[in-house]
Amino acid sequence: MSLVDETQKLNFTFDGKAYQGHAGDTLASALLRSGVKLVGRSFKYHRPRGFLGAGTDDPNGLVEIHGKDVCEPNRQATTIKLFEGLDAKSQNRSPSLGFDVLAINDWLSPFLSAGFYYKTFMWPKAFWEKVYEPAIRRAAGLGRLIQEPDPDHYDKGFLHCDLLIIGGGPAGLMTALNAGRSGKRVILANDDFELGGRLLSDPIEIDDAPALDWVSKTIVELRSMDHVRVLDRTSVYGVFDHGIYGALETKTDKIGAPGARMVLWKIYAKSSVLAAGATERPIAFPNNDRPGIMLASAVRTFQNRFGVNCGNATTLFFNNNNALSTISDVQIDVRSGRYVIDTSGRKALNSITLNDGTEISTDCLAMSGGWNPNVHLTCHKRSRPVWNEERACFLPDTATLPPEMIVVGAANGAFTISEVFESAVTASIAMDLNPGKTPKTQGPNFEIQPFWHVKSKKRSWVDFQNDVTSKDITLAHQEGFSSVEHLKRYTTLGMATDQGRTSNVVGLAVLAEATGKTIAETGTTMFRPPYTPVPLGAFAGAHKGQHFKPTRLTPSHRYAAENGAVFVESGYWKRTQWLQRPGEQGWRDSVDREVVTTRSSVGICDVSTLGKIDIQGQDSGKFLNKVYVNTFSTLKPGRCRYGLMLREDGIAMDDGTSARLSDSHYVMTTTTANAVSVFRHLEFARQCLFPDMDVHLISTTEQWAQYSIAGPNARRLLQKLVDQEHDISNEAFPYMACANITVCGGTRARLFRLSFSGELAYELAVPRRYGDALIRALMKEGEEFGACLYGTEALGAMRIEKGHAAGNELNGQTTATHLGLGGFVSKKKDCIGKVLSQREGLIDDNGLRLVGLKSVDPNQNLTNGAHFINDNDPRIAEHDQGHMSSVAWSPELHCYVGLGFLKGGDKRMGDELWAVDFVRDHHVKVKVVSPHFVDPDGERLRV
Amino acid sequence: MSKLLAQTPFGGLEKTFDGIKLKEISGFEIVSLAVAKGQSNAFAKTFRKQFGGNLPEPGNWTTTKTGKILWTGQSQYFLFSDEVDERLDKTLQAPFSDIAYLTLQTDGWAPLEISGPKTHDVLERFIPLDLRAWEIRQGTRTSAHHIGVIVIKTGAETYQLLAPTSSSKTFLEALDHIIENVLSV
Repeated sequence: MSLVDETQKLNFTFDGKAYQGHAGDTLASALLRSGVKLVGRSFKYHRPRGFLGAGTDDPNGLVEIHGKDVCEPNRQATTIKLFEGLDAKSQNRSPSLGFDVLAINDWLSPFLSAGFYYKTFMWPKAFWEKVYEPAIRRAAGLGRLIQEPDPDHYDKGFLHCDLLIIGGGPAGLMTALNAGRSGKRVILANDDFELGGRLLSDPIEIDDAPALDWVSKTIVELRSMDHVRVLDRTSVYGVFDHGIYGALETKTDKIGAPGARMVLWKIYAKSSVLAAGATERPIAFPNNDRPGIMLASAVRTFQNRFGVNCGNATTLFFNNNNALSTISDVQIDVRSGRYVIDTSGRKALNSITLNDGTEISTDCLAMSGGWNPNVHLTCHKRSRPVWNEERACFLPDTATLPPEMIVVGAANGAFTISEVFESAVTASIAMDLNPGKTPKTQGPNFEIQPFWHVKSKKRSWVDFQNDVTSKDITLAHQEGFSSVEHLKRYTTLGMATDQGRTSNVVGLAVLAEATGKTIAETGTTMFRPPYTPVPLGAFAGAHKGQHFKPTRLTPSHRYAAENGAVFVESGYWKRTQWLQRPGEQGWRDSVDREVVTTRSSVGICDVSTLGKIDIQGQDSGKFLNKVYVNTFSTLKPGRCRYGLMLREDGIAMDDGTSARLSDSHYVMTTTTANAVSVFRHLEFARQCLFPDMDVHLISTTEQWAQYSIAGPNARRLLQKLVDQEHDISNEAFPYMACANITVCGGTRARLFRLSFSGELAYELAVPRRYGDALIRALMKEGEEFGACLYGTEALGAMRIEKGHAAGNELNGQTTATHLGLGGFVSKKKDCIGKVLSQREGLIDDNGLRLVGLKSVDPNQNLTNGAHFINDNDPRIAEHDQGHMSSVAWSPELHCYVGLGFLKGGDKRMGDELWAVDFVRDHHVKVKVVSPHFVDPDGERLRV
Repeated sequence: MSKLLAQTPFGGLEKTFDGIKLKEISGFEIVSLAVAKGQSNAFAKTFRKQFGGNLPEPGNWTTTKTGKILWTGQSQYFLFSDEVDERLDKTLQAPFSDIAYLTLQTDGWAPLEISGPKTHDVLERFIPLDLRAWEIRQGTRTSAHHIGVIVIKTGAETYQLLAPTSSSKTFLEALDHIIENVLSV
């Protein structure tokens, strides 16, 4: 009944040696068929290990998948779908799997019990992080990361359904069929690459025919329904709030394959059915970890699904009648009083010894200690499993499980095929689905006699992946770690990639016995996402490299790029930082030229990134009075005004100008950085604080391409573009004027006479469709003035020369008073933040004030972030007088200039003190001056 | 002074993949209409008179004699007018005086049409909404690849996607990347 296609050969290597498998194989089945039983070394003792399970339950067969120059560690060979060219390597061994020098740990095992490291490597303390831990991690561990970028692509996506069915075994298939036939939108997520679950492995008959016939018919019908979506190789790894499920779809295991290797789905489901099956558990008997000792269900899977015989002489050791379908030569039923007390065979099992002294030669021991329902995802819903004595397992607690999740099949303790179908039908009826005809099945009832471990002085493994033995658990109890949660952390029981699928319940049983409690009293740990490992790359999805985050380009981007622009990231924006011209040796050359050109003739800067918010409505003026500290309702149409906005706590939030285009229409400008947060703040104020006002907001940041044209020749340049009917002379269009105009023969535009640079300046906005054309027109027409495009560095230098506050000053800690704008705060009206801005600590006369700073020695540069200390005071924090917030080289003044916040600064003009910068070890004596270095009276603005 | 020439965000893009077609859509203006406080009835009446058709419910669009109109927020609609006029907000304002505030939005949005049998396979990796279940009258603001977008269903397998103009390049790159991933399997 093998499901592999023997006609399709697939070549692969394991530890460099070439092998051949078949289509339909996992790496594990292909290795076993090739006679490879030793596949790994254990975590701590480096003991030889073979496969214990045949699927996601296997703790032993962890391998690396290699691609060109990269590898992915910790992959379960039992879940890797074999592909042509697979290059797999074993891990956690040195130098080879066959000869591992660290196997010496096994001989040292009496010293390496649980907690050994914590107890032993205590002195000297400093050695732990630098010496002991790295050495221990190298010796004990899983695979290793290569610390190179993941070359593969991943995607993320969103799926929606009425019903998510988790698991493609008989319970999941039956429920999916019923839901599909009832017209529900269904997603069936199956973590295997074949549907059928245990029906693929067990010799079961359904409707008097092999179970696979029923599986095939069901799959055909499901795939024929448009509203049913079957996701193969998709593991639901977590359940989250609001009906959201995380699922990982593996498209291929191959590294470097084209397209997305995996897709991380966020599934929005109205309800779900957990049909995740159950995991068989081992029995803890001495030396139960040798290659060849496997779960009975794994032996059946390899045998029946993959056509691989796991041994020449198979012995079955079991405590439940579910195991009886395993083909074996010898059966040891614990219910008859016989059990295994030891095994032999270093790299493969040779023989077992029973409690009655019998020694049996065997190379495959199939063991079954019962079944653990896969209840993990119910725990993600904060439902805690409850112990069922009759089935000897934890079952989902339906009393605490939210109604949108129903558990069916073996995941709910239905361990026979008849019970599985019964539970699927019952669940279907509960969900108002057409239950259809229940398939006919036969078989004995499930019977089990709990049998957890064999007491012995020898080691009996409970958690194969973490090398935790029953002795470790009793030791933990002796040392006081008797709570199940403490046990887990002390021994690492149940951690790592298999999340204790095979080990948890055995571990609890051993602990319960040690503490003298029942398993029900002992309880279980909670399971948290992820249920199965998820590569971090899948969480990132497509968001890496150039796709890591979106970028926003300005209207002049193309022109700037053509003309030597260096771009800087400002949020998502890429802004021109400066433009390098031939012959310029460094950025300062470019920036100085841009400043000098602007101050002496005309410079153009793309200011489209500044937030633009159109505010309309009869109450717009009143609304602005509430959000700005100063008054806007009195602003006349055709005029602009600088405004400062506070947060509710009185701290300065943002500043900018707002222009009044008509009685009911203002245009607010925000800083680039705060464009979104200011819009959100305004919407909150509009909807929640002032809902009765007639005010509407809409962002027009993207609508308009806006350029600042600054410098003494700004008007002459503009006059070449602005249509003649619009008079922009100083008299007709004075400082702080604004208007709707046309340019270049009728193109719609907005013109604002504003200045950030301190020069005669305008901001001209056109619909963005004309943005590229306008910058080219401005630069062409500006040629006669030697106009230049300037970037954010020149913009920054000029605003510091002018003493304008920007992001460094509006840093979320300063108030209007600190900024020297206390007089701006209108006393005639209330505004957001006004009351709290008047708190005692914020209005102290000797509090921080914005000042200008120059170095006493003009040859010395200033540094941003330096702290001010009075001349003779010790340079310690207690004597801190404030800090430097912005510095720039001033091409106008030929020295460095700075802005900073100084205690009582407004009263300390002319003082000399130290700007101390321990980070750069640069201390400069500075003089306190007015922050307005250039044109303090604003004459240039008004010419 | 010569006239300024308009450019479209995607430069007239038209791309065909196996089962997917991307096409820049142009030749229309977007005008936002914000309803003045207490003027809902007057607005609906004036709207019907000016454009014909009914106003859409939240999450929907309707057809008018000048083009689509989409509900975009509380008391706010986007009119997609077939008339190309960069002053359309001003042109249309008069009958809505004191009833609604009109704002030109065309230039803020980069519109792209995606169509073809694999459209949903692509969009389910791009947009968090249940588009397969949508009807051909639905449209809304949402996000794609961390970008705020508008998505409008115009056919069984046809959508209009509007990304902010400044993000049009990055938006298209992301969409191309996803299409490549979808088609490579």
